[in-house]
Amino acid sequence: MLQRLINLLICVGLAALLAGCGASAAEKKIDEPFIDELPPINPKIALAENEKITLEVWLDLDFTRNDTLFQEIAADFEAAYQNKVDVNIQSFVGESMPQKVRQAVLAGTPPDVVQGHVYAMAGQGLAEPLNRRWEDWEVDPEKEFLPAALAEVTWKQTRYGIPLDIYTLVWLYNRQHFDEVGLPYPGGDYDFAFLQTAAGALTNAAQDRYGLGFTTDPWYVYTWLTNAGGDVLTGTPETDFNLTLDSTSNIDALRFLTDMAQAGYGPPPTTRPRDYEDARELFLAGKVSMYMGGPWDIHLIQSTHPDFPLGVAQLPQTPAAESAASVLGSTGLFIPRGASHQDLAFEFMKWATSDRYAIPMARRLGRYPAKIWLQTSPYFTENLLLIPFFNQLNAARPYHLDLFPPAEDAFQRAIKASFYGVEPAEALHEAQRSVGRMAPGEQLP
Amino acid sequence: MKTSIKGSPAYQYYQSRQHWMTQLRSQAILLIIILLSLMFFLTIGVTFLAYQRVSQSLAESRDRDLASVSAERLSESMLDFARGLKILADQEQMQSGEPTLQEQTLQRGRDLIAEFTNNDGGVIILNPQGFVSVTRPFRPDLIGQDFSQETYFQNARAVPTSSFFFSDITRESTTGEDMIIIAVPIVNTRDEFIGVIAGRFYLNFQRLGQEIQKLRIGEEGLAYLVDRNGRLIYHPISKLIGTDFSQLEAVQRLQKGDRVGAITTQKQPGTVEGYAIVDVTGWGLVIVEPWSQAIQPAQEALIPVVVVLIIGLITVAIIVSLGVQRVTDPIQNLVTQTRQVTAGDYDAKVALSRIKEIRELGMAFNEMVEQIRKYRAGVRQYVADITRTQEEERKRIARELHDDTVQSLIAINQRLELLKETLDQPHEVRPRLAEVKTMVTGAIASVRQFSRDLRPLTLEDLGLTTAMKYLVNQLAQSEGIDVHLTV
Repeated sequence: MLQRLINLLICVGLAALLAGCGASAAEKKIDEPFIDELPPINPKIALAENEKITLEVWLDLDFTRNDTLFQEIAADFEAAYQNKVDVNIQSFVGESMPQKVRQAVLAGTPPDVVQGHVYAMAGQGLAEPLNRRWEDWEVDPEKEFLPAALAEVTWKQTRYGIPLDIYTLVWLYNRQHFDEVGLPYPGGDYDFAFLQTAAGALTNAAQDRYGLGFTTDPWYVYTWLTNAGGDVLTGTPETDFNLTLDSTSNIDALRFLTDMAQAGYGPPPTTRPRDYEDARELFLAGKVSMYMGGPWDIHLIQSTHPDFPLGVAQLPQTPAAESAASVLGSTGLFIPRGASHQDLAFEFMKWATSDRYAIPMARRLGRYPAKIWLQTSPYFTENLLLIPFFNQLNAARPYHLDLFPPAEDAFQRAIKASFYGVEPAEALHEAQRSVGRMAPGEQLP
Repeated sequence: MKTSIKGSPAYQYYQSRQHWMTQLRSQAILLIIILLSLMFFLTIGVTFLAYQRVSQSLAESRDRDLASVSAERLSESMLDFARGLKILADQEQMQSGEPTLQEQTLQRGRDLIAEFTNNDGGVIILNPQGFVSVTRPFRPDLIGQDFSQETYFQNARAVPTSSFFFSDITRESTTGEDMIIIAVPIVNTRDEFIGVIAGRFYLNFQRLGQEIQKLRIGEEGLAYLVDRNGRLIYHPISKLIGTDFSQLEAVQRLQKGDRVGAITTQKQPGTVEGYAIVDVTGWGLVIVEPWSQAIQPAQEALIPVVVVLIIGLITVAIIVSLGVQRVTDPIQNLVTQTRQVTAGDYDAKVALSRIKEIRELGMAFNEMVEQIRKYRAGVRQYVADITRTQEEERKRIARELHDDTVQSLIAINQRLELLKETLDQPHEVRPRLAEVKTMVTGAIASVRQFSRDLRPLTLEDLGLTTAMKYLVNQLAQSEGIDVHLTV
């Protein structure tokens, strides 16, 4: 009996060993560079033996809602520092982050690390300058990060953050709908006229189907304006900024958009916050044939609806020709003013933006790190549907209106009003008038 | 060629293992270990159950308290949301019912309603008929919408003196988004119902979950918030938000009016759940802790117990092994010595054990061997004596034959030689023949006597005792000595 027991134990042991080997083999199959290369820790960081530091990290809800990558990053970081650090991640809707940071800074209880549009945060005096820390880091920023992303963490020649990701908007369409109406897919040379014609042809009220999905989100609408050659803000931090909401180009572009809405080419936008998600939902439901979306939309559709007949194109050509551009977006990690554990916070920022997590972030979140090496990496460019996105990144212009919250609010009101019957020129003129003197949103002293 | 399995190495190995298994020592140790293991597992089981009960009780108590305290904290947070709306509702311009003035009031009090307007559901004002008259931020899609059938509006209109109402999950008609609404009736100084100011939270934005998110319920625990219908207002797994959880026992207890409590669900995976009503809202907060986490302290507390028991088990096994060895070694020695005796070594002797029974067994063995040895010596002596006696008897027979029979036959032969020379003298032949005859008769008598001496007839006819008596008498008579026979 004893012998049987020993034999059984041996079998169980062997099975466990084989299972372990199997798991190990499966792990090895992960096709990612740097998978085994954790970022280095900073030996200069002195951590008390008996006291655990809690690092408060605020992240965009879109980065944590459906994936645990940042929890894993935090766990790795904690382990690297012998669990003397507790990374406490709080997630918020990205659009609400600036106001939350402002309140926290004013209350004297800022978190240690925040994800956001660093340019706007720095411009409002909400971020700690990091030039000295960048110098100590001993990396060459220009060789490491995309210039456009670096610009979005820089305010008046001072770096206030580390770029995390970069993105722009492209044109997403349903290939099956185009096939059904016998239209060619939007190629590299389609224009506004083609778009308008296609929107009309694809709209079929009987089938409850529309050619276009609309949004009133200012960041998205800005894409229309800048693609038509317009802009809402001119100037630099070193000079004065000028608000140009009601420029002729902007009025024409917004009118073109709202006219298509008035013509019934798309369902009226709900105007709720993040109503760009409505367009995506309608698109996935087959009720909308085209809409503007980001790489996260491509990722979401491909991961949740792998059989969806998704097509991706760059934005249409416009009379603005070479000066046309999509919107450029980039989030970074920064240290809010007055944060408690700034040394450790910067180490976490370096950790989270390291190469180790670049591919997982792209693959699992559909968020693309602003690393130069990634742009030509086969791991990054493996998805053919992303090619228009990469091309569009070359012609993208940053959106800086969030530097002036009242102006952005006025711009959004004008967009909403335009979609609901107000003449775009009138709405934009009113928005321009209501803003008054331009100062980076109630900048802190 | 046919190979016998008995000759195979595997069979021999098996036989050797079997041999090992049949040893008294192995079996004794195995039996003791089995018994100790049984005791070990019983002890562990009983201890674990006891710890588990205590841990469960503590976990339930802790989760109940945690749920209660968290619900109070959440209630305070919710109250803060409502307080800002209430302040605005009490403003004179708000009570005027004029949308423009109401909008201006919202503008002035934007900090009070920032939580709503901060890219969330925003704030709306309904007129006395339930139509949306003002929105902040600007929501043209909502302006003019009829919300008169919404429960929160009807409640506010029915009881305008109430401070506020927290809705259950409701769906925004224009967007299809699930949301929570905090409604505050607007009543003027003449107690006339002017409308409702309502703050709205989209569930998707998880704004309401931030307070709950801060709760730390161990490594794997979680907390969720349900409305009065059992639908999830907040859950850490955002995909579940809006799901109907009314089938869960903790939620059902909340719906039945149980304000605070805790339960343990045994259904896999088991959980310990604390629950409490969030006072201001009427919603329910549930804290869920995996059963494995709840009993983790018990498991951790058991580790030293297990270690001590294992050390004890090993120690006892070693002691038992040594003890058994003290019993089995003398027995093994006895076996060895017995084999030596069997092989003919009668000098074998076992060392005496200190154990009484084993010592007595050893002494008996030694005595037995001594007896055998003596018996063997006696037998050997007997055989030697027999051999010697036979030899002497042979010598005696030879001597007898030589000294008597042979001499008689030689004398007869000589007489016959003399007789041959006197055959021609008849008168001398007759006496000589008579003399020869006498000599032959004497020789025959002597041989017969010799034969009788070798095996007396009396021995066969009368038996050994009588024969011996006969011999004694003969000896006494013939030799004239006094001989006594005792049998």
